[in-house]
Amino acid sequence: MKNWKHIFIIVVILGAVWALIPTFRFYAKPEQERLGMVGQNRPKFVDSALKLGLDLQGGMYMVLEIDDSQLSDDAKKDALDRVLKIVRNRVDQFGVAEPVIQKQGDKRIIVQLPGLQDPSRAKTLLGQTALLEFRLVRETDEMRRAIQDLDLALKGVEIKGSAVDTTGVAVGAPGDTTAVARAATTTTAPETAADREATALDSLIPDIPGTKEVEIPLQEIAKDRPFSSYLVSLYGGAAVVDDRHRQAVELLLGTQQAQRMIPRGSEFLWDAESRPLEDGGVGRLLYLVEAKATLSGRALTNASTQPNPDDRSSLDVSFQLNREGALIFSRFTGENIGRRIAIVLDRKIRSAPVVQSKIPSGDGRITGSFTDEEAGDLAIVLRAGALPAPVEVIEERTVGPTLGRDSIRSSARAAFISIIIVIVFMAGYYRLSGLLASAAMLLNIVIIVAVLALLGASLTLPGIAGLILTFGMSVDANVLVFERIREELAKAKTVRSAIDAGYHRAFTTILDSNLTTLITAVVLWQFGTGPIKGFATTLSLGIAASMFTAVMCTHVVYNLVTSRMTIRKLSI
Amino acid sequence: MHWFKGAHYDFMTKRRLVMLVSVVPIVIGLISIAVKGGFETSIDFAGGTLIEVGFGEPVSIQEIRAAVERAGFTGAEITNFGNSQDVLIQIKHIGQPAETANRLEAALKEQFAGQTVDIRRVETVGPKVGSELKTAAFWAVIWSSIGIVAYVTWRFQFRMAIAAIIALVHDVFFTLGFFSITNKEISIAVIAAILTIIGYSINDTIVVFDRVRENLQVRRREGFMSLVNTSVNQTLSRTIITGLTTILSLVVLILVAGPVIRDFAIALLIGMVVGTYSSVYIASALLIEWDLWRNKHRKVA
Repeated sequence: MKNWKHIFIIVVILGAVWALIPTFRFYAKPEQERLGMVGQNRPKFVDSALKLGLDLQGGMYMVLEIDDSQLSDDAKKDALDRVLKIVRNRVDQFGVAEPVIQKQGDKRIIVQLPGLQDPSRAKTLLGQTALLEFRLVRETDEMRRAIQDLDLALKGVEIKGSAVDTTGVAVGAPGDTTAVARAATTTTAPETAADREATALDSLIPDIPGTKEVEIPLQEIAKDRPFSSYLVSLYGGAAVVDDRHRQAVELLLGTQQAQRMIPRGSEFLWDAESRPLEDGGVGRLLYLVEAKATLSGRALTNASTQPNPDDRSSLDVSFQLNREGALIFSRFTGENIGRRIAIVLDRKIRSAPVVQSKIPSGDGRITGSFTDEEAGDLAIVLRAGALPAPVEVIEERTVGPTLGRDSIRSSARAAFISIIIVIVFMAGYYRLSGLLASAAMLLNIVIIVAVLALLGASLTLPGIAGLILTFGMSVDANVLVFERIREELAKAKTVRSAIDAGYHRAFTTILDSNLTTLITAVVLWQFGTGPIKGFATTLSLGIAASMFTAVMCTHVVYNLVTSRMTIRKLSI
Repeated sequence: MHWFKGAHYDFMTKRRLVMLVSVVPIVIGLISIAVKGGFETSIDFAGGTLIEVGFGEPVSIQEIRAAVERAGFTGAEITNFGNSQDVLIQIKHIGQPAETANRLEAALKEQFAGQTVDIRRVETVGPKVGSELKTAAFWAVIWSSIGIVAYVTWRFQFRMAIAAIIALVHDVFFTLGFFSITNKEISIAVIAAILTIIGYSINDTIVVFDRVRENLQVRRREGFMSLVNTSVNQTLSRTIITGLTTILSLVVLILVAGPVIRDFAIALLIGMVVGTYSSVYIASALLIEWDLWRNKHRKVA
């Protein structure tokens, strides 16, 4: 019956070695080859190999939080699942090997992207709501009225903070209202309709040169008007705001007085990009648009990048609406010929062309000076769909590949040196028994790593720290046993009975001390975020494994030796 | 080799003096914490952004500061990390850290266009996450303490649990005091280290108490103080050997494993040394005091 221990030990050791075979096969290969083993064509064993944490191989860890304050209770319920699906969709199209995307609590999503090269791009890609909307732009008269109302409402209102650039006010003051918003001409790019297919949204931009229609210097606006004095001019129904005054305008619009004055069913939205102004400054357009969207990106079937016909160095993103969307759009354009429609992405206006005629096809285009990457990413997020609610990146941890490589090298060296020191120390103090304890410690490491590989957990830097700490803790069990054996030997017991008594009496001590340590390790695991969990995992595994390696295995070895030969003097 | 063979040092006669001395660093630590109004916390708790940058050639902190300030961030902490080419930039307590890293990165690449600028690490923690972590860390310490008291009361005695917990509080406060006095930052890693110290400190105390428990059964005639002293001596060899191997491992970790986990290892090292000490002079000594106090009251009653 005593043999069950032998069988158990052999099974565990063989099991651990077996579990580590894929890991050895994988890491025995040169790095170049390993990097190639991703995606669909990777060999099977790669999945079973021990993974390295983001801190060792480099990569990005992100926590996204959904802001569901604007959602109905019903929508709140499945918002997280929908966001999860869309984020996963985006990551898949972005192309990262072995991403991990999971829920945390009921408002958060953890995204882990190993080996990522461009974290800021990933952040933009995943954090973007990508809500595409079509909204009717209010006509110039309405805008002018709104501005006058705001001037009245905001009289005497002071905006707090140093954000307002008062020195710059003079620039936008009526004195130089002749400044024409050339910026606007870029945004809505006047061109001849004949250049394009009549169905594309972009081709609906007015024939009439923009300047003629819209050059309206705000001369009639007096200097003491608090709102309009921040505006340069009106252009195509939009106000031109010098970039230096943008913050002031935003603050003014945010005040209660202003909010009350904004016409019902309308809201102010900014253009997505700033453009050079004629006076040499930089400015941005502020539109007054319908608060309700006519159509949203849900009606989108496809999005892809297209070369910009005017500027070969940049790309546009074209999209197609589904049948229902196309129908709505067709009716909408038919009813609003001559007016502007804003293409709004995440509450920023991408373009606002004038409707020339009814558009039946449902094809559209988002212009802007996109780089290849930006256009590609925008197409991805449009295809993957808009998030049901905005998300915010509330935590981000990115480790570059060089730091990861350095960390592997230095922690491997630390582990190696620690092992050597412990072995020398133990062998010096406990002789052959010390070597036995060292062997048990090495087996302990093998088991920890094997279990990590089996669990699909990854080895992190804190994990290695936990491992190194385990060296010290693991020999503790043996130290307790050896000290007891020495005590028993001092009582002139035989070697055999001293060993048995030593193990017997040390056992409760080892159990009690290990269990209390395990309590804190478990709490640590429960409390910890990613990196701490790695530490707690290896520490707990190390404690559990040490009960096996340092207590059971070494005892069996002693028994084997003492049953085969008579030992007068134990090497301890 | 066999150190402390048949050791019989008198640890316990001077216990009150030693305990008094132990209180001194704790009090100094507490004063430091009170005067500084809390701890220096890393971005993990304070919220903010941290960037570690590796440059191709050594750069001056002033140049980096200029770039950081041009990007619109004042009050950044900029320090060399490990060597003169590696720099750590930390910006704490900012409301909306999402864009900070991108802006910093762009500013640095612009300022040092002539050489390689390797963004080795970026960490951004929103203010909400930071305050949640604070709460979580607090409860982690509380829960592990409760778990330990429950376990030790069950397996040993209630007075042993209380003595062990006081020893543990001593170790934690000693470590915290050290971090406050040296102005080191408390990060998640340091909290992890402190929880590990709790585990280790209790582990060490348990070994001694286990002997006390055993001796209470076999050496009934011995006075309690002498019995505790014997127990400490009997486990002394183990205490020293285990302490030494663990401490050596940690010293290696501090010297070799790189700056990322250095603070973590330093916290552990301090805690381990103090934890070993407190098993004898706080936990065991308190056990004796408890016994003396109870005896006195029993006589009166």
